[in-house]
Amino acid sequence: MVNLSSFNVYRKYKAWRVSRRLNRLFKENVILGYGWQGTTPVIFIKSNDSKAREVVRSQISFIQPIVIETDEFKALSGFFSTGKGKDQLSQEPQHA
Amino acid sequence: MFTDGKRKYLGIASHCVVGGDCRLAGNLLVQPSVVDGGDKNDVIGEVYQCTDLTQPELTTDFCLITPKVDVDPNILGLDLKLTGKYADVKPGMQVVMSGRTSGVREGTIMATNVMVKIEYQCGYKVFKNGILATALSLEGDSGAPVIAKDTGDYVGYIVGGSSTMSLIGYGKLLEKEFKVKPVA
Repeated sequence: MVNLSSFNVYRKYKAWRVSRRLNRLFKENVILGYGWQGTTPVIFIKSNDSKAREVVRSQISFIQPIVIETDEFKALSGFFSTGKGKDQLSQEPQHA
Repeated sequence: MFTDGKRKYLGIASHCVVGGDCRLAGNLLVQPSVVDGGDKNDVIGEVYQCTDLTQPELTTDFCLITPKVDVDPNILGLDLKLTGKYADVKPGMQVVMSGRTSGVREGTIMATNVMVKIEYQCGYKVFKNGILATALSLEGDSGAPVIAKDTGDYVGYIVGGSSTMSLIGYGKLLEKEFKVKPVA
């Protein structure tokens, strides 16, 4: 009979190890980021980044991630204007 | 709209009210913006509380605005009954957004608990605990509300994206960091 408590501890340990490895690749700028579809890791790499593809293939293919190629993430502009007083409104949309 | 139980606030993205150094550019909010034809007679509110975007790591990019005009709590173009609850977001969930540029767009949640590097005008930041959806937003849509299509629960707000995906700030974190709930 499977000891569910031990199984859950193992699953949490495995998820922690996967997160640690993904975090390292993120900090080394190999991947743009990562997230989760349930317990399946989703990895974002730059489009046509052969180095990132190779790292994913050689180092973390065993965790069977979903790999999505995309361009870099940017904060989108919001078209509000702000000012410190009614006569000091900015003439441009605020960008970030 | 949001409430802390005492007052009601508008919610927008923090990067909409900062300058190039990611510091607050002013305290009055004009809508429509000057670019969209607004002027000093179109002040709709005052900044109440914002995420500090000068930090290198972010979990929100959000501002509460104290309205100075009457505000309809319904979301423009959405024929959905809002529940006033934060959604439990799961991959595959169908969502709908109403933005300044895109209007009403639908999408699908692709990943949760996302950590990505994102470019702001003052440099790159690490955005944690975000949500990624299929592309449903464009320039000008930041801060737009994202709602669960099936339930009317509040999923979050548009922060940014790539050409193929939209990054959404997780609504539930607003309860912890801003002590507010969405208004039904």
